[in-house]
Amino acid sequence: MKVIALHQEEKDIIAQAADNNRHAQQVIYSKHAPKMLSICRQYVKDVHQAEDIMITAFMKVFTNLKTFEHKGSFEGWIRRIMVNECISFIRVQKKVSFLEDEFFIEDTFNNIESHFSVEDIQSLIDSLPDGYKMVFNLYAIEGYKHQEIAKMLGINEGTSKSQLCHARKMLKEGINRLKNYENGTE
Amino acid sequence: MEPNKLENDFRDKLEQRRIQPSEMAWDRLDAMLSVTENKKPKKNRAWLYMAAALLIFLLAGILFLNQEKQNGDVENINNSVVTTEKKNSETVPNVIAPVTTEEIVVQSTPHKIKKSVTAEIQQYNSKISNKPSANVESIATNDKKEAQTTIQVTNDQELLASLNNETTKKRSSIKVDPNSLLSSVEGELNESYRSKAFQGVVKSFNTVKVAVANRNYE
Repeated sequence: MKVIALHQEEKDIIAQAADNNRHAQQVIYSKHAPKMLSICRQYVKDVHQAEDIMITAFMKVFTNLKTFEHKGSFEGWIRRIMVNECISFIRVQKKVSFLEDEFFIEDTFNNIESHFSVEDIQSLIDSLPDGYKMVFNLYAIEGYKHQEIAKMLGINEGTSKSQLCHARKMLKEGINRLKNYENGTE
Repeated sequence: MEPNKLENDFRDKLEQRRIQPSEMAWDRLDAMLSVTENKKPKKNRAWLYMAAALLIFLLAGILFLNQEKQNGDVENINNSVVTTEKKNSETVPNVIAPVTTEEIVVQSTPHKIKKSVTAEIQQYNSKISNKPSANVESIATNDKKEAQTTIQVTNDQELLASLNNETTKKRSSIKVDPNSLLSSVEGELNESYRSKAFQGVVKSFNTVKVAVANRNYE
């Protein structure tokens, strides 16, 4: 019962926000902004830039709120808008070009023990070039398929796979460096 | 290539992360939302202005075309008047073409009648001279006939005079007509012009439609 009530509440607030009710819009913003900023931060190193992207994406959320059909979660819908905004920002502002190589090797990544803090993870991701970063984020964090990523970025499926492979390789190197650094200080 | 343990761990940790945006962020979003809200009616107004401008253009075009056409007609009328004046020095100034031509026709026909009548008389006379063996009575009757023909001729002359009078009468009576003539001509012009103007409206409407459609794609 409680879940249904919560769902209805969200629906009402979305409807109000769609009618340009500023209070309802602020409620939605306050609820989702911290997580969305975290997502934007995954793609963009600079927090202020990430915030700019988040604001632009929220503008799109509110102007297109009438098109939201309540199929699937509202958060997922906002999240998709955020991710798309980040991708278009990186592609337009930084003019990322993907190397169209389809060479990749299966990398064993499983045996690495993970004991990293979020900050470490973020710095590892930050160290990746934008192309690798986008594919890694979309595949490993957002859970998109290579086919979907290829469509989103306008690249070949093979390119997406090779980009992920390169990203993993770089991450592995980064993890090793981190470990060595930790070992060195310890 | 499945997401592996490490990546799952990455995801879980990143999912838990929350970054509080700066307080300015909402104010900026608020301002942006206000701007777009205010823009909406402005957009509609711009649309209205566009429509108004288009209408004004159309009206100006209609007026211009109308004037041009009227000017052309006036020139034509002037030309015809000049030519008829050259043809007929008797025509009274400010008389419209149809009237004068009618007059010419009317004037020329009596002459023709007169000519044909005189020719007939001459033929008759020659016939008489060619038949000297004819009776006196017949001559007498011929004389009578001749007299009749002369009477006819005189009658013709009278007729001509009366016709002339009639034409002058007609002229005077038709003088009143120009207004109705003009109005009828104008009516015809308006009809042909109306179709033209309608075509113009359809054309401009199509261009506007295309422009609007394109604007949506931009």
